[in-house]
Amino acid sequence: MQCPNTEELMDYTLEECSSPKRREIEAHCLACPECGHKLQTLKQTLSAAASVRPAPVSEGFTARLMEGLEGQNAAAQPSIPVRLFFRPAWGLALAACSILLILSTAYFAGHRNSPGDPMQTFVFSDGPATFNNSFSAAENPAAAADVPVTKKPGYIYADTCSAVKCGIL
Amino acid sequence: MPPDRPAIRELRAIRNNHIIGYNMDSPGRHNSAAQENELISRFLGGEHAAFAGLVELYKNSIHQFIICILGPDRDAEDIAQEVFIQIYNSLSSFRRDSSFSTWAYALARNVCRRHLRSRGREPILLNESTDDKTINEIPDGAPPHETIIENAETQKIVQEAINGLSPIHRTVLFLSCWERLSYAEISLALDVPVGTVRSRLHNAMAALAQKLRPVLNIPEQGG
Repeated sequence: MQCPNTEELMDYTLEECSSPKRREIEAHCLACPECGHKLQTLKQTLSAAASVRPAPVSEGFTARLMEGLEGQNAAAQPSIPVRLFFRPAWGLALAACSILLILSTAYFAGHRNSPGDPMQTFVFSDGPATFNNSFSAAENPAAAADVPVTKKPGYIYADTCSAVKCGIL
Repeated sequence: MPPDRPAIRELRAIRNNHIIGYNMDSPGRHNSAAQENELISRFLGGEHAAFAGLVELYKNSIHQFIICILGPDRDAEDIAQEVFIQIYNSLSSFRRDSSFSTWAYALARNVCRRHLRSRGREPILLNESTDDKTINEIPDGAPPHETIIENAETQKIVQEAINGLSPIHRTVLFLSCWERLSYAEISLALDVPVGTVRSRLHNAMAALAQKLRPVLNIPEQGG
């Protein structure tokens, strides 16, 4: 065997070469004092490098870290009831209900019937919902005859499309 | 002097005998693999506290790895905390197709690079393909290894010699000599080809041997 180069010796020292190669290098280093010396120097240098212990972290490192992680978890994961309560679907439903409540309150507060007026009459139009272009719900023919020519309290005007969308029809 | 058994085992024996002041509280990857696997499994199973065990195993090594890359840095400990937070947050994505340490060092490397960028310093491209040019042969000479690290003063000299190496050399030496990662594992941790790891390690050894020549009683090259 020719003299191994230092990279090969390093591979040998770090157990990064195959078994046959190891045996070859071992046999060679037995016979070749120069390579034996090289190998020894390499081992010394490795020992020196391996002797330097990692710089230790300060005391309480792990405790501080775990504390921080717990804080992170607490912030990221609220307790289950709170999470359920603040689900987006719940939020949307709540907002929709609130709006509906406010609108209906405002509407009925502003449209109180006078004593002679019908309680409520829904009037639907085929086009834009005006009181000149309206007809009553088919299931209430009496109301159809009662459609006023001017806007009167107690009548709710809506175009058919909106009524369908709102689920009234 | 020819070796009578694998040199790496000799190194371990030297360490175990505390001849060169080996610190047994290092991860000792060969002994801790089963332990760390168990801790990871427990953590992934929902046992939050198991993560503290992993931190205990790796805190000093990760800290040292950061120092290898950044140099002595007063923020190294804070950066180590950041690395562990990242490990905590992404441990569920650890697929175990590499060792935990390899994966953790790769994460730490990325955190260090981000810090270097944020400070406006050119990140040390641990994974760049070009390597340094100084390839010196390791000088030969062979006093017995027991004489290498004989006292604290000598250890300090060794530490200073290592500190004087380039970040790339410090890092590869640390991963190989202290962490005992294989070329392939270092290649994964630093994201460089195995051949690059080998040549960097060789250059690092040559540079260190040069600096330690007086301590190791190594004769001048060619002498």
